[in-house]
This record gives sequence, C-alpha cells and structure tokens, in this order.
Amino acid sequence: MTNRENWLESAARRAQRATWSLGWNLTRLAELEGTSSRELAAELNCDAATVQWLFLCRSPTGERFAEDVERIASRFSLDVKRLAGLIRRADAVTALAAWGHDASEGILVAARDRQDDQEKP
Amino acid sequence: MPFPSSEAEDALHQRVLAGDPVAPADLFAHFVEPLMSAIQHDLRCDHENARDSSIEALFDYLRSPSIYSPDRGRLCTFLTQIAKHKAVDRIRARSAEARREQEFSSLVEVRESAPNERMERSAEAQKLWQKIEQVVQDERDRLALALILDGERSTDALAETLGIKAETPLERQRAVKRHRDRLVKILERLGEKLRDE
Repeated sequence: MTNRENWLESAARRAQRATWSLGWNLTRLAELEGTSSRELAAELNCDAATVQWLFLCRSPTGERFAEDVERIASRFSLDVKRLAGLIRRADAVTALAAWGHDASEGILVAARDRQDDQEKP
Repeated sequence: MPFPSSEAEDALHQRVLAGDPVAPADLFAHFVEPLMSAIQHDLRCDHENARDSSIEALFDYLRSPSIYSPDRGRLCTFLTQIAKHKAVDRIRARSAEARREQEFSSLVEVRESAPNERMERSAEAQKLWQKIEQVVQDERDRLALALILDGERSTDALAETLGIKAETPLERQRAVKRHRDRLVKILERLGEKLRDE
C-alpha cells in the first residue's frame, strides 16, 4: 500500500462521521441498503479509490445541488446522472432514517409518560 | 511533497469558505502528506500518529473553516499547529494507557502465580490478594474478579458468577460489561495504590 493509499483510506473512513461530507450520506445509504463500497463503485463505474475521494467531498445541497454534482462528476470523471441519482437516493434515506429515529424517540417518550401516569397513586 | 504556495493556500481556503464541494478533497490531496512529514520531523512520532493527527486537523478545520484567519499567518502553519497538538495528545494518551496496562498486568501476574488454593506459596502474593479482598467485599465480585484476572472473557461465565439475570442477551451483555468495567476500575485504583506504597 502506498503512502497515499494508506492515508486516503483512513481519511475516507473518518469522513463517514463528518455530517457535511458525501461520505456521511453515502455511508448511511450503504448501511440502509446493505451495499458495500465495491458495489457503490460498480454503480458509479469507477474504482474504489475514486469512491474514497468522493467521501471527502462536501455533500451537494439546496439550490446549488445540480451545479455541485456537476463539479464533483467532472473532477472525478463520473457520469453526472448516475452520481446525481445516487446522491438524491442517499439524501432521501438519510432524511428517512432521521425521521424514523425521531419518530421512535417520540414513541418512547410517550410510552414513558404513560408508564409514569400509571405509576402515580 | 511541500506545502502549496501561499497563493494556492488562499485560493483553497476561499473555495472551502464558499462551499465548493470538491475543495475538501483538494485540501486533503495537498495537505495530508506535507503535514505528516512536518509532524514526523518535529515530533519524531510514528507514521500512524502523524497520519491520524493530520487527518483530524483537516477535519477540524473543515468543520469550521472560519476559525482560520489569513491575517494571523499561513494556513499550513495553522494546520500544522492543530495537527501537532493532536499528535502530542495521542502520545500522552498512549503513555497513560501503557502505564495503566502495566499496573493492571502486575496485578494479573500476582493473580496468575497464586490463584486461590496456591496463595500460600507466596507470602507477598497472599498479602496482595488480601488487599483485593479488603477492597472487594462481595463474594460474587471476588469470584468474577478472579475470572477476569484469569483472562475469562465469556459473557455467560461472568453473568453466572455475578448472578445477573437479564431478559435479553443484549441486556445481559450490557450488565456484564458494566460490572466488568466497575471491577477493572477497582483493580486500577488498587494498582495505583500499590505503586505508591
């Protein structure tokens, strides 16, 4: 493993915990869909190192979404439509997962409140 | 690989501030290797520490890039300072960990050379086990501690010894971990006390 491969792998792994990064979104997608980074690379028709570089990019957001995706695709020679589709899917599952978490938290709070009420004399 | 020029650094910083999606990747491409070299050269730390500290420094900066002010110096100097602090923290943490492990292993050695029935073989070991008995009053805790010192890692064995009855395997595992952490803490404290004596 070269020096660059060595630190790139570590940096990409660390990016999975950085909420601003594409690594965060793509990792949530991979977790929820049960896919590996190799499958991610196959979907984008690129190699594993390119996926690691993608992880280090800032996640495209809001009004600049299309422009940002184009910039990322151009930088890493990726198909812009495939990349846009993947990032939109990642955004969707991340949002759904966050909603699901909030919803289950709400249910737990309600359940606890109910239990407390029942325990009161 | 040298740091980018002052102009290139400024341009990169502006791109980061402007939210350019590729700027973080470019930042890593230009800064990780020179940062690692600088830290390894100045601190003589290992490759792993230099790499992880450099990466962490860049993530810190990317989380809030406005904390860097170009008026106060170059970006490479700013990032090197953060990375060095992180490397020093890691070195300190490792030293503390190594010290704790040494204290813990000295107790393990005592235990291994003199488990319950064979205690009489060594008066010193017996004395030390008595100290453990003074600190740990509960018989179940003592047995669990003996198992831990003998290298037992099985959740089931420790749960049975500690009398843990949990409804689910996860609860059982958590309860065992809680007790194990508590007992290891006791050993650590005892180790420190023995070292002082």
